[in-house]
Amino acid sequence: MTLATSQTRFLDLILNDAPPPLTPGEAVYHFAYRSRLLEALRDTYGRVWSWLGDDAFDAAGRTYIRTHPPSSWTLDAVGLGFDATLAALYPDDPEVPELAWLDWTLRQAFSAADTPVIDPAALANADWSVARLRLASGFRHRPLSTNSVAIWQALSRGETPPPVQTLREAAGLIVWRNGLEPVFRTLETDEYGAIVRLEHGASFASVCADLDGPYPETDSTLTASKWLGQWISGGLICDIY
Amino acid sequence: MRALSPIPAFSGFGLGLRTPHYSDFLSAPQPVDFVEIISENFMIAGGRPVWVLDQIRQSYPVCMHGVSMSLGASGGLNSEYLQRLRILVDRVEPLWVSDHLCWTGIGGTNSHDLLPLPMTEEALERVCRNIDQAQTALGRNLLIENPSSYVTFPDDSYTEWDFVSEVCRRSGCDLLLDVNNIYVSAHNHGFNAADYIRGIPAERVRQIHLAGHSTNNDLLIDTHDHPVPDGVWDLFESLAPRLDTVAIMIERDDNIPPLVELLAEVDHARAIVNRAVLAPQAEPAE
Repeated sequence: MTLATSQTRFLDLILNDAPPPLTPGEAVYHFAYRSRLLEALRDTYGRVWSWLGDDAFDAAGRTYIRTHPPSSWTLDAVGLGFDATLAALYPDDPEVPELAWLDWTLRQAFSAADTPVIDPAALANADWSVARLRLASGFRHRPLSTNSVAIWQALSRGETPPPVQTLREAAGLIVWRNGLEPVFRTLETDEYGAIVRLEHGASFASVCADLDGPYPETDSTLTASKWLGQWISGGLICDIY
Repeated sequence: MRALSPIPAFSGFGLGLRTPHYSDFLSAPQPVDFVEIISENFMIAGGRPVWVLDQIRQSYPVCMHGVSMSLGASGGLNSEYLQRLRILVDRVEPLWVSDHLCWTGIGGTNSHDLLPLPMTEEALERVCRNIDQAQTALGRNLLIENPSSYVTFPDDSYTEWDFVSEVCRRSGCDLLLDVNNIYVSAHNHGFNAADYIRGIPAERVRQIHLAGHSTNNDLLIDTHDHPVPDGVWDLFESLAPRLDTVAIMIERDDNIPPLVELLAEVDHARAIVNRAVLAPQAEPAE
């Protein structure tokens, strides 16, 4: 038997959920494959695991492992796409993929590329009529439909999570890394929209101008400037260009 | 095979660097001569792990130990993996880079396990070709570690120690000898661990792993979740007189205890080597 044939057969044996009778040694590899991947999923999706419980999480994990054999050299990538599996398995529970997104995105931010701390001189010297803002390492965003963030926070503290509630007003969730710490914030619609526009390359001035539409009676520049101060102090902005 | 620079001489006693001990290493000097990292844990873009590694590297020599090179893969190595590994090598400037004599997957699927190789001439040639590819990509010779295993193959035509010796001879790589893996595989496959110790080229051993294992029915499993057991210490003691310039370390991956407990195991290894240096040359125990 060629080496390629031998390895193909061995890998097929390991991946097969219903293999032919295994020798005790083959069973070690067969068991270890699922055990290691399930452990990686539990590690990455810790709050989802807490929320669903062992049996439901492991069942979802086994479904995912069966349909998504890992292809990357790093275990860190094993959970890529698990949120979609959860969304399919829990179509009536929108908090589940939202929790999964937060677990996964924080993990990605943890090891994202380092970005510099913004130079205060750049703020003073910027031409604010055209200035754009570069967002910090690991920045990701998504809209929210439930109180999944409150659930995630309670689970993280080991507290009883609140019941699922649908948000009365649309909101957004952003994740980034502040220095070495992955962090997140829930944003109301206007601020969330502004951040998303900035990420897409809009100038700060154009974001301010957009605020004039819904709130003509307020000073949009003042509102946006308050946001900018919060963003900078929270490490969300790494550069002006 | 291409000629590459030989691995520099280094002797000492160390530990596998694990996350629960980062703060110990960052807050005070620890009595180890080197640390070993799992390469893949640091083949990332940035963030805290890389920051911690940079800090620790300033105070300790570092060995890089990989688990995903898949040196026995029949389809060759993943060049993107090698490029990422090279970036880390250039950043860390390690004592050396090691990986296992195994394969982890083929055809784009990665099992994330150290899968067993048949001990055949074809496998030997493929391993040497893959080692040559890796050594060329990294610009340095590798250390190759003997894995533990739970199956053998009907086609096997080498003993594992002869296979390992031949890999060293043909590829120019050196050895990371895992004493626990010899102990585990000897039990699982019914060979004499002393034959393995006698059979490997001791002058090519540059690093030693000492670890613990678990029992699963009739098999021993290389779990690295227990202290080094007496049987592994005894085997190491039989090997010690044959060792020359070697980095010796405790490898613990699960049920990780406080650092002080692992440092006690490091001290035990040091005492064994000191006894071996003082004692007359002895034959390995049967």
